[in-house]
Amino acid sequence: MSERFLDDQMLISRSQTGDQSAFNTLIRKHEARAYQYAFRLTRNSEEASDVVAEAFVRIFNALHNFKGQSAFTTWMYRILTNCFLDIRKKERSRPSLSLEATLQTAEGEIERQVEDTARTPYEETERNERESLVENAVTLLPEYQRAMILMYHAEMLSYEEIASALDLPIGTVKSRLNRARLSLRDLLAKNEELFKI
Amino acid sequence: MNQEKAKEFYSAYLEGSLDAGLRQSFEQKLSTDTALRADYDAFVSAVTSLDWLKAETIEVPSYLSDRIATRIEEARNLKQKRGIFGWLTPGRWALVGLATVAIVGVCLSIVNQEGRGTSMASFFGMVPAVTVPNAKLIEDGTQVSIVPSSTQAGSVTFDAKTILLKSKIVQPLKNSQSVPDVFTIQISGEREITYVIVPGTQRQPSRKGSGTMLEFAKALSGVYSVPVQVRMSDVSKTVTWNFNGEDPRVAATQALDPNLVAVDLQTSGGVGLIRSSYLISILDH
Repeated sequence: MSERFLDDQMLISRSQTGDQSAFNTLIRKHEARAYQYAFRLTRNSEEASDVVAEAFVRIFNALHNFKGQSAFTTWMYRILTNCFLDIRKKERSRPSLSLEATLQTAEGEIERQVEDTARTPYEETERNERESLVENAVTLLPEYQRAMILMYHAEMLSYEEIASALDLPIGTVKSRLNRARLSLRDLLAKNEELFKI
Repeated sequence: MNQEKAKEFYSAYLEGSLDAGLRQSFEQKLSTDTALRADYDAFVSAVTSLDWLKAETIEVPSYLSDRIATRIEEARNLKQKRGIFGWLTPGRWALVGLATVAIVGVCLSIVNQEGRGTSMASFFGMVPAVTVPNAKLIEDGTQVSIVPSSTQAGSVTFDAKTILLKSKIVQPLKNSQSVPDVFTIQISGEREITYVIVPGTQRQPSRKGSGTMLEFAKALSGVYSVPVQVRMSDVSKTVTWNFNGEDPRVAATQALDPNLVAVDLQTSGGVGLIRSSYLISILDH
């Protein structure tokens, strides 16, 4: 683990001197992990890709300021979380698109088509029902709570790493994570009621 | 211990990190309160159900690397473009603004924050002069400076060609007050304003404070006696500072969120109107 950390330090130092190849290597090394976290946050591959791309642009622009006081991955999680929250904030302020809307083209009026990225019924039955309930409940959590649950339970970050990523005291991380778990418990209880036969 | 208080300890108890005294109280409460017991069991079930997240396989889309590479390339090109005009405008706003000026012949407006005077001129355009009213010129050998006129009369005119040649104007924006002064530079067609803070004649002692980004920049300029340029979408954002050490770049970086703001050391700025051994540039991402 510490050797991996040193590699990041070396890549960062070289990137900071303008070595593009070092920066590209740094991206390739972390893009999968970044995507997996972003996908867990968004449950949408298109949005997750946008979050990751935006995050790496911010990393590119701010890398010269990175002092190495925390691990690069901790910093990356912070930026990913901020990108996710920013994108969601922008979406909330945008007027919503009507599914009934039509487009005028040179060939005439056509219906607006929205891609359905949800799983097919076949795919759904293949998954454990409980997992589906949990995934659904996590997506219903407030975004900040969702990020904390995922950082701890999916990304396996420690309390210290989460504190560093979110720039919060460890005590605050622990109490907020506890609250997030309580919220999740409430959502699951509600969902399970709906699915009881 | 009431129910609501007990819920605050759920995670710590589950993880075994509750201290002995609290653990005893909590367990006693659990054993006597059946509703709390059921609630806690549901909590444990919910937390345990998150275990599947660790094992979940998530496929990375094949287009991800290309998307990232394209976005980084765009960011790189933008950075490079902004650096082409070198000494004149090395900041992130400069080249885009000047390219616009060159193409459409728009005007440069220099407005002193205290309202000492404004004037309009075009860089590369049909009227190459810049005039600063209520100001006077001081020439001392090869150095030329513009200072506010004490009689509020007279004006100073210099042209873009002169600035480009670097030969006559060394530090055309000059502040003879004891405290920092703020100049506003706006290029037509550009949404963002560039603020240039010129230090005063005396270093300011106060290293601690809080306020808007402009107040922060003035404080930084005052403490370290260094020009500061600020270009942000929202300069009214508040920040708290406590400057440590003798390096203004380090001091500024420590106070600001690197995710939101970039702090750079540059050898010129303010559309070529600040020439100093270095200046601090604060730009948002």
